[in-house]
Amino acid sequence: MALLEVNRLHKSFGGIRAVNDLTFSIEQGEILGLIGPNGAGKTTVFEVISGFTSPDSGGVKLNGHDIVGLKPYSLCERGICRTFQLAKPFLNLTVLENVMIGILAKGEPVKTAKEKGNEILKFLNLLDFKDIQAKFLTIGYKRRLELAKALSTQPKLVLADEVMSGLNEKEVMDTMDILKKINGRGITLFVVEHILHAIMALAERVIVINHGAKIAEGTPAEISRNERVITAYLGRGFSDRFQDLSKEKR
Amino acid sequence: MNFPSKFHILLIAGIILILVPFFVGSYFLHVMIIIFFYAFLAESWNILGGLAGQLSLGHGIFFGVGAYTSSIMFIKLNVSPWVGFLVGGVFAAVLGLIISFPVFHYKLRGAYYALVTLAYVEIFEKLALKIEYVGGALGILIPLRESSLLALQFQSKKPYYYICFALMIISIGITHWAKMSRFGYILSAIKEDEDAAEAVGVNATKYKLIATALSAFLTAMGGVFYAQYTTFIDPKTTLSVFVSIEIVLRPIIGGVGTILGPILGSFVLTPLSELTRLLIGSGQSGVHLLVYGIILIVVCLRAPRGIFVEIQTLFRKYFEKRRGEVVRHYGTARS
Repeated sequence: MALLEVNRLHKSFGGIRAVNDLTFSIEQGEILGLIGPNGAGKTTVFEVISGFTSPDSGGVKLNGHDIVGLKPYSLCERGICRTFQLAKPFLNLTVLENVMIGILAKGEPVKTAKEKGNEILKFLNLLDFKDIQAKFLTIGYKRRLELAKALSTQPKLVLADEVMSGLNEKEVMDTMDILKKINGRGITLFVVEHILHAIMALAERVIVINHGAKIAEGTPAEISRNERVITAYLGRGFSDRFQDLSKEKR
Repeated sequence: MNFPSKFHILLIAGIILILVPFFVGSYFLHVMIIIFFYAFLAESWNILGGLAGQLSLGHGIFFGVGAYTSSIMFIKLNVSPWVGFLVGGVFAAVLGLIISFPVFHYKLRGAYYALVTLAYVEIFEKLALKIEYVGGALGILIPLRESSLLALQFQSKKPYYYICFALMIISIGITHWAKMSRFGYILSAIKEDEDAAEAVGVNATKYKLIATALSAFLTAMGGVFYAQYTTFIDPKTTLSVFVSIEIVLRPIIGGVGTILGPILGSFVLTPLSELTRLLIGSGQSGVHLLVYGIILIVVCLRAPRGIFVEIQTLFRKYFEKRRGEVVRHYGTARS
């Protein structure tokens, strides 16, 4: 059984259909990518799954249980945690304190939260910054802190909303490694990303949406050859480059 | 930490304050009582307004509910104000929950929250003015019965001094506990960013409600003390926006969210207001408000995080210079 099933999801804002009849599922332990042009509705999909917005119609099931209408914090207890496209660390708290909040929210005492928080920071190579306020971090580290905060809630599924945007090439590589490491712990990842070479290398399966509707689904290689995806989003150039890259690898 | 520890400074200050009543006159003692009294209220507000970051302008309600509950019980049922502390506190806490739940549930934040609480004070003030049972516009005059601890009425000011001092210490203790505990960490996350806090599993509404109840309970205790100390309450002086503002100004000037900032705020502001009243006379009512306004502007411009934080920073810098150390301060909202 799939970890998360999204069934015929609809969401409109006024006259704009942000999500239009979207159906897909996420398997336990995979890395699923979600791509599409700007305004395609990717973030709205995340908002609905994580409980920040309620859908107009359609169902979302986690392990077979309906989760539509649940609040973000209770979804978090059930194992779904999102990161924000615009990183939202607790700016005036230290990096360690940022990570402690999710652990404390689970009911752990302060002392345990400090220990576990330190472990998470070590896992993500953030330990050097643990005592400085989050507002002093660079954007790269802020985004990494977002992932650390997500991990602090002991999630089953992390919804990562553009965790690589605005990063330089080195930071993108680092973040990819981190995402793989997180996935290696058995945590399922659902990743929205604009940095295509990253998501193509990372994801096992990719869903492409445009105007809120799914236009393609498949492995990165299949997606990059798909005519509809090329016209709507990728463009001929990327497709050719990606084919060349794939050939070179072989 | 090499510099004289906060603990030692506080200990010495505490001892001095305990000895003060033996050396000073009645008026000075009265000023000290008022300082402690506002320090206590400011610290009570600080739990909701400072730690949880909810700018409540509705604390006049909780204050008034405490004062009215205990006074009515005292006059009509002959119940000791000590019971009034508890009952008034519980009433205020429950009222706080009832008022705040819809506000938090429908996610009114920041200025909107402040406006709603402001509106509620006005409503309750009008209610108290209209209801004859609680004295209406005439208010309640609390008869002097006997000088006894049970009735919380004394001939001398010294017992009031120590009771109010104890209240202040209790509020500092509670705030200190709240800040260092799981509760305080979670409140600080809510203060920083409520959405982000909910995203990591914090039930923000629940924690804000707990903070409201705790804050309301303590504020109502202040109201009970006020009623017994001044022996007269009416809607204008106990259940109005002015009370709310008197309470809010002290933490803002002293340092919102710090443990000792609100206390310091009261020690700065309360004597000033007494002084202006003394020098200019209470006939020219409103002069102390003018002084508040000027101080508020200066503090907001020069020390937006409050006087306490500025002093702390100066203190640290001074002692680090003496040790010849260069330390970069990244600081934290929780220090």
